[in-house]
Amino acid sequence: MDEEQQKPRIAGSLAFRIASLAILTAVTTVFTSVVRIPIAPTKGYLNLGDVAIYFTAFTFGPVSALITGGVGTALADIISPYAQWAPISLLVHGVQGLVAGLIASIASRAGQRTFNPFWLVAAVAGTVVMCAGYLAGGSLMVGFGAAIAELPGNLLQNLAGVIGAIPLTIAVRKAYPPVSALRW
Amino acid sequence: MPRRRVGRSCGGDAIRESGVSVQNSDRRTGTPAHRFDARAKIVLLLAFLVLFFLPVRIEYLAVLLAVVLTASSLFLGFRNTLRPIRLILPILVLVLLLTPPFNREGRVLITVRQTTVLSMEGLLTAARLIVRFTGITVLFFMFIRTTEPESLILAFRWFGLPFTVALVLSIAVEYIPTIRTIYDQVQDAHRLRLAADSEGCNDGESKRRRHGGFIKRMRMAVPVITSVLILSVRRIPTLAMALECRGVGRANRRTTFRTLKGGSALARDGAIALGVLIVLAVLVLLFP
Repeated sequence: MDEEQQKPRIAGSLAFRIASLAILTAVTTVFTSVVRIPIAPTKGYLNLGDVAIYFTAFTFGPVSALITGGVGTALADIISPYAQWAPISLLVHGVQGLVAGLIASIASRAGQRTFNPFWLVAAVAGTVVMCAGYLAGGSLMVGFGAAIAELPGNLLQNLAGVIGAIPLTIAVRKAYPPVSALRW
Repeated sequence: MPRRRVGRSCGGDAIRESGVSVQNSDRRTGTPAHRFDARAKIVLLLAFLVLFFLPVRIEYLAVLLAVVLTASSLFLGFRNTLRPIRLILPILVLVLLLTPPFNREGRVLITVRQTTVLSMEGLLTAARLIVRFTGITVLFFMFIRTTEPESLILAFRWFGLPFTVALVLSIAVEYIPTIRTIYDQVQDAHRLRLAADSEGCNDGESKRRRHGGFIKRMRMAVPVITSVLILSVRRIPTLAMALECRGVGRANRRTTFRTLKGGSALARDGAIALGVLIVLAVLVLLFP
């Protein structure tokens, strides 16, 4: 069955876009606030919010990644007792998703199930945006000194996002080919 | 912000409750702050935020913080007010330690080999940042705890948020517990499979499968999150058809089942918010 036959009849309609954004936003929120990978040396955790953002950017495109990345992480901040970071997360992760989605769209082929080198470039660009954004926002909130101390954590967070998102995107596309037809 | 993610639970227990009632799991619900109009609360929140960022004297910021803490203790209880402060204590310690090295102007307090290590300006800047961040944290905590998600979205709509964006927000909030349940079920299924696979293995091998380095943990998480993503994404066409059946996307004017209060109640809350704004503005002018 080719991509056109797989494409849902209502893909691209307003209702479809609302449904797509809402579900992906909820996924990003859950991945940010619930799904955790322990880091043994520091007894800390990394969340998989960036994995969800990059997956959305690679699979659904820049607009979806902008909205779900920003709103999803802001909702996660609101749900957790860190609501003061919600406005910064909304802006920073939204732009991160947008930049990653725009770069990943270059030379992307619908239904591609193999590695696209532009995904790596997109993830690096997203990392730069995210780290710079949180450095600026953190400087405003807690001062430059404390904000720069967060930089290694942000880099590790994004590294986890890159390591997780690329194989995840390939795995989802192989296991569920119609996902490519849901892009709008 | 990774600090909230590294080494700290991020509200996972809160999401186990229904997504709509996450913000109102606090026992106090009938206080004036809970009944206060969400639109007026947004205006007050923005006003206090602006005040915390103004270049005023630190004594003024400390009074502002005291006002916020008092209000939060009155409406939410003292123990609940301490919760967000306890969570940000490591960040506050970082601010105290790392701000003075980047602010070494002013009266010198400590020098090491003719290099200024600590100055009065650095201490004051650190204190200002600590007071500001604590105040903002408690402000947001109080705002979220006393406002229902529906009221918040309706308030944003009143301020001009488009209907489609509000719909995305409310559906997303409703789906958070669903996605969480999917994740729990898939994780349990994978754990059971891992346990079944390791039945024939010795203890060391089964432990090695369960634990391991960070890369190994990420690799073990990929099947779980792949399944969660596929199960979530498969719901999109069904949800879209349900929305189309309910008329989303048509040109007819939308109505809502629930609306924010208007008339005298709104006028009263608006007047209170305006009064507070005027008082704060006068205080800022009197104590520059």
